[in-house]
Amino acid sequence: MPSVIIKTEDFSIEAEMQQLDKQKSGAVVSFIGYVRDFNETHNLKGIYLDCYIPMAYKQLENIIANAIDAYKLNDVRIVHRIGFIGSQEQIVLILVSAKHRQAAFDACAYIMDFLKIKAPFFKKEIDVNNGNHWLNKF
Amino acid sequence: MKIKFFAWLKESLAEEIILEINTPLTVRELKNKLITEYGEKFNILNNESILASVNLEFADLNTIVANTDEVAFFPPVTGG
Repeated sequence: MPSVIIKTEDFSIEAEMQQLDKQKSGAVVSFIGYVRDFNETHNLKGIYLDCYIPMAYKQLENIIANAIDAYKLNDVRIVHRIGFIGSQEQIVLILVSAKHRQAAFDACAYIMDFLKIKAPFFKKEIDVNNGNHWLNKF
Repeated sequence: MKIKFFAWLKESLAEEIILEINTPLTVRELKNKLITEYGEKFNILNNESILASVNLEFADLNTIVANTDEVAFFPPVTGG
């Protein structure tokens, strides 16, 4: 059953993969996004992710429903972390199962592309001296 | 009406404002009401990069909001 989880704790791809419905699936595609140790901030310690949680759930559930409809997927799981996340730690996981590989590849990219523009998460970079900097601040 | 702010808007404006309105307004009118009632710093909401949502869906300047709605303002999203 499709699932969205938003939480502060780290996630395990193995544990999430066990939960993914793989029946009648010839392909599973996964994507993990990590905190870059290079970006606008030098000596990055990590990021703080703010989130409008109820809207993020609603938008991600909509994206999943659209992806299932467009690519005839068997199952989808999204896990997205919030709060402080250290440099090079995992931020986001997408798991997709489908009959065929191309649909699974395409759907995983589709979900990530829409997450990037529709899901209300907001990054603040924190350097090793605890200076901080919101992305997209003007 | 509940109005929420996220990211750096939360730090520079407020986390949440409860506002009573007697008649529905557009998002554009709501921004002007916030500037009138809470001060010039709310002018930042008129920057074209700032996004709005009404009841958890993206909204535009002409979206109508009522007293029972939840509105939010935030900068461009940067998840993933």
